Amino acid sequence: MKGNPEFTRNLWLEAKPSRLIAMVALLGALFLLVGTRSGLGDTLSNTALMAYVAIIFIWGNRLAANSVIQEVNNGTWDSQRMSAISPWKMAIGKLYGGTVYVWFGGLICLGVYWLAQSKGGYSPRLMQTTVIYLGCGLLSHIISLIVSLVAIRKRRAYGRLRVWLYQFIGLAAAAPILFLGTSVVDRYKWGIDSLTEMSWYEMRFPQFGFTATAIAIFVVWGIVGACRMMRVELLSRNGPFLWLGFTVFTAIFVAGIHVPARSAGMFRMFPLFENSLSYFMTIGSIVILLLAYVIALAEPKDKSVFTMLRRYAGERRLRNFFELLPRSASTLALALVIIVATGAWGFFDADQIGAGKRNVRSTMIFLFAARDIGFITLMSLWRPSPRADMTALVCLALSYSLVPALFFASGIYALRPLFQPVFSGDPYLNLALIGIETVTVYLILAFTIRSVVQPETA
Amino acid sequence: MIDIHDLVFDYPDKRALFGINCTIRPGSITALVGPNGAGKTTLIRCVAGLTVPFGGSVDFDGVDVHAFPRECHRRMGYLSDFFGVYDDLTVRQCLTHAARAYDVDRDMVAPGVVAAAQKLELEDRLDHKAGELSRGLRQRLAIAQAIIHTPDFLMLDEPASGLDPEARNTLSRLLTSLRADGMTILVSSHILAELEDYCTDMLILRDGRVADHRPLAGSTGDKGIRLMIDLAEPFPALITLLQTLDGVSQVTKTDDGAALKFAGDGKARHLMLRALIDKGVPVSGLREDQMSLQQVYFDRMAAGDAS
Repeated sequence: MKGNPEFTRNLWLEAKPSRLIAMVALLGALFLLVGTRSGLGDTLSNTALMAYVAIIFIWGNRLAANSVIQEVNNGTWDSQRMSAISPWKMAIGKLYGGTVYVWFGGLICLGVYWLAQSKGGYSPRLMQTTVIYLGCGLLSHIISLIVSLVAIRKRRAYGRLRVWLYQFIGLAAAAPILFLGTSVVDRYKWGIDSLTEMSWYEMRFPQFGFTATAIAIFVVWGIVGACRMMRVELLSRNGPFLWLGFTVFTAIFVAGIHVPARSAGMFRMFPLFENSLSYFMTIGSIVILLLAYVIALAEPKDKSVFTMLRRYAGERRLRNFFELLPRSASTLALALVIIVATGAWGFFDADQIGAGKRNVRSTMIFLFAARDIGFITLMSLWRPSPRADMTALVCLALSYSLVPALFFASGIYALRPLFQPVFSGDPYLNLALIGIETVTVYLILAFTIRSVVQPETA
Repeated sequence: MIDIHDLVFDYPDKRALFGINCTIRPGSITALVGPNGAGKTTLIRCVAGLTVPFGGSVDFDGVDVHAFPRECHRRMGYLSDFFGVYDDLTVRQCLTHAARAYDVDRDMVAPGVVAAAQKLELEDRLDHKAGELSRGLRQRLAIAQAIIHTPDFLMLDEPASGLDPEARNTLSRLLTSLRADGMTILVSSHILAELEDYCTDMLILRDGRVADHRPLAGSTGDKGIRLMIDLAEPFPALITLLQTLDGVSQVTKTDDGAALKFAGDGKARHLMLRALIDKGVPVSGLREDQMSLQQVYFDRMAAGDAS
């Protein structure tokens, strides 16, 4: 970190002696008050963990989200973009330099937690809780930083409300992992041994070890993702393969986790035997489609992208073309490949039932996702503003909920497959309807791109 | 130094630059002027590589700025019209961060900080917080940050806005001294009179197009000055005669005589004048071309309105 100018600058700003003393005094007073009333034990350790959550997850996420946005708002970001600081150093400097003060406070809290809990000696739970809380804190800060980096590609001025939003997204993303992780620790605490193992691709793993490893892996992915986002801000280009690698990794990871409730739901929707290859591939394709939505909302979709794509295609600069090609398109293509492969495999998989029905349903879900992503792109071209994505999301939410309900109330059932995946009735007719709708969306998109893309010369 | 080819840039609702072509010559201070919305800031951001154009290219000493932005940025300095400094850091910390961010050699950071502070007359405020400085001093600090790595090419977008007359005068002297050190400078401003003090060239933008690009009064772009010869009465052979004289080039006819580029010292100018008089030319005056930046600007704007 010593050779990282951004980290050093943040240290100058965040870790001033007066601030460090204030943090020690504040937390010291809190823990002294609780400790003198209840002594060492659960009350003090719970207070320490609550203080950790408040400092790391609420305050820290705000600092992480603000680390870039504040520079944009204060007019210092352009100088940083023109500097020689590497994307890696900039991302690490912002991630850990910008939050160094809250980590100082957070580590004090964890120290008090250890002190309060270790009165009877070391226990595995101590280490497990510490690892889970540290990992979730890192992950939530990374997500807040990534969300703010995504945001600054779309607009160049931010109010406090938006920073709160990015802070909340980081918190929301880390909360389920924290909940899962702490529940793992609690199960261990209460001796529910049967729940301390989990299944991943039919292999049994200690639940704590699995959770901690997963958090560590996604922290690494998150840091790499933040660096890649920073590369774009610092005017470098990214190839498409890392995102696709992350997509495939996440699909493989999620598909293998055994969740009993999910297995039952999957069987109802796609007649599949659990733990078959088709089962894993179908879950994987759904994960990839969900990530396609995420990236479609995150990436810029203005006419400049399509103008440059046309230029690169015209000049046969394929490398530049694929660097700029919307990741949502390549992600959709990847999902399609897996769905087709799953369908093909189904005909050879003697253990499977209803392969034809399953393929129709998978294709239908793919077409809905493709239609939605086409529509999100269309909205960005029709209404070129930072609110275009939100408008598209509201429209899609209405089309999935209110519109079918209105049709239903009016007794018009035939049009419902245009708005929701409908698995009852004639599946091929339903598939044809959403197919026509998706093709129509992409024809309109192609026409819109042709009309908005302007010639490059005056 | 900077070659701009067919630069096109679109905002979502309108085209900002329509195929800009121009060259910024080394060692010049180019005034980038034009009415609001002409595309000045967009052009500067494209040249700086901060904004990717839809078409065309910007070459910095033969290197494509948008293909290799980070290589070019090491030799560029930029001050945005909406600049900022880190208010909670001291001037010394701000400059140290800038030096390290621009990868200045570790041993040269501390001397570089002092040198930049001296150049901007900030040396007595090195330990003041940036947030405590006046607008003019913050501006100086921002410029010091932009030049701490001694770039070859400096871009300043509206550097004088909000400055008092004294601070503007300091800025003027600074830019002249930076040019003397070999820096090429592109400066955008609305304050034409002030640009005239230090600019050598003028680039006028109008509606996203180059309306004019020329060296300014007294500056011909290389060695030499522009001179005006006024006659008491017409002398038809004047142009032909001038073209035969040593040090004279770019001769053009004017209403009252001729304009020319002259390379030579005062004695050479005296000899040229004597030669003209010896040949019977009715010279009534010999003067430097004093057409001001403001005159050129308003002439071009008027010509644009008329067309």
